[in-house]
Amino acid sequence: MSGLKRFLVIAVSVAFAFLLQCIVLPKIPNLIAVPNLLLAVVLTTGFLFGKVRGLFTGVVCGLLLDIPGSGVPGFYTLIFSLLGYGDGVLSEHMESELIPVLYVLLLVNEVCCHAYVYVFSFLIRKSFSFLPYVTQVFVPEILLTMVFFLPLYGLLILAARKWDLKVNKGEVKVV
Amino acid sequence: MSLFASIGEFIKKRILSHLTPKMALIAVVSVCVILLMLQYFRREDAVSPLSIAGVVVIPFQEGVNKVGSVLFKSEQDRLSLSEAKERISALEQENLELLKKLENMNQTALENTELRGLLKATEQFPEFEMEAALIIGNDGVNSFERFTINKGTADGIRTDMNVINKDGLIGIVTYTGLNYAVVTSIIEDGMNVSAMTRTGHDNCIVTGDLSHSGTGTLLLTNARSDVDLTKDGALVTSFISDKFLPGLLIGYAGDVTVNAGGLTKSGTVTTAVDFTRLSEVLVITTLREELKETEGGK
Repeated sequence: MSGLKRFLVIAVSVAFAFLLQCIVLPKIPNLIAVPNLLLAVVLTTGFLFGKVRGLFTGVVCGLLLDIPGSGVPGFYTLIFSLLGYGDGVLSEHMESELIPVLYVLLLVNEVCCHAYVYVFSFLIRKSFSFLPYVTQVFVPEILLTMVFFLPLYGLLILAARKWDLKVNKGEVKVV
Repeated sequence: MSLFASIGEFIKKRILSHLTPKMALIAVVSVCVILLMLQYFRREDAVSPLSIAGVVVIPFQEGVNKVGSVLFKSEQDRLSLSEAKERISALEQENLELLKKLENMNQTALENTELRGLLKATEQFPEFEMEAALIIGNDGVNSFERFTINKGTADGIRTDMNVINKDGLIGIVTYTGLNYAVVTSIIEDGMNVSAMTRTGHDNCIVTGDLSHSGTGTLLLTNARSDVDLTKDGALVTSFISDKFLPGLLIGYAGDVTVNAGGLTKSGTVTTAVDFTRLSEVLVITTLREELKETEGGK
């Protein structure tokens, strides 16, 4: 049963992040950027529930971005699944699960994701607008993602604790 | 519940026990890479796996989109069915007016051309047919200005169709699914539109640029240095573009300077369309190629 519950928790958080990121938040006028919540969910899942679940959450989240967004199947799926798996592997070797450490991990994830996007959708067509990309896309997005990340992580931890889900770590600490 | 349990048991025993995490990772990555390669060498309008997945995701997205709009009191819609119908009929009305406007525009353009003796085009452009569509989502990761509309190949939308609203040119359809299409707007970084001044028909190139994306301006390049771009200011799509229909309003030129060589001018263009407040668009279902064919036929 714990498997089903864990599946539900992950599915609900993915759906929630998708709605917020792709449909609700873009409607708010004058928002400087849209936080990359799906990436935050992938990170959290990989970190809490291990590399396999991180991998598959990455696949689902990537597809959700690929289908209505860029129209290039596999573009985000590739990077998200790699990151989900990578976070799972990292969490196995990490002692600490303190919030600052998670934030560093989030930053690393964002940098990887954006480096990938920059290389494959800018450099590949010889557009070298690096500085504008950093100031107009990357920095606003990472700031907003950091704001949204904490409540998201907190909710997942609480859900895991409430339903006594086995997490990757020895014990679950409350945020 | 027992069914779920037995299915779970089956999956665990038969599949998961043989599948190591590394194998799963390699499988996922190789599938993605293959899909990307296929996409890179893809024929136009080939049926892609995404198109099939879109059948499931898009109606869901459309539904949720409405809920989201209600929550945020966006003027776009608290749409009930009757309201939507009203909106559609209003849009159709607007279509007609737009068609008239477009015809007028083309007429003026043609007259002008005749007067200047630059071209011997005498025939009128055929009426453009249009399809109204709602914007239902955007590429949630980047502000690269791509968005999804709720009409697809089933409604006759094809790639390279021009997308406008009542103010002017918005962009071009770059990807189509059965019931949705992805529009790349003219403010997307690196997007080039061949433009001309409305009165003089002097050609230049308008390019989307990331560093200007917040201000609603585009870059203007390759204009001849003896052309006074700011006199009239209005830039429309040119006759020589092979994707954009001629005569669609792009925006107004400003900050024009002569380049170092003295041969060309460059500057910025303020778009006619307010890209921060887009909710519904019109897709012109007449393609540029078809227009050329009819011109050739006459």
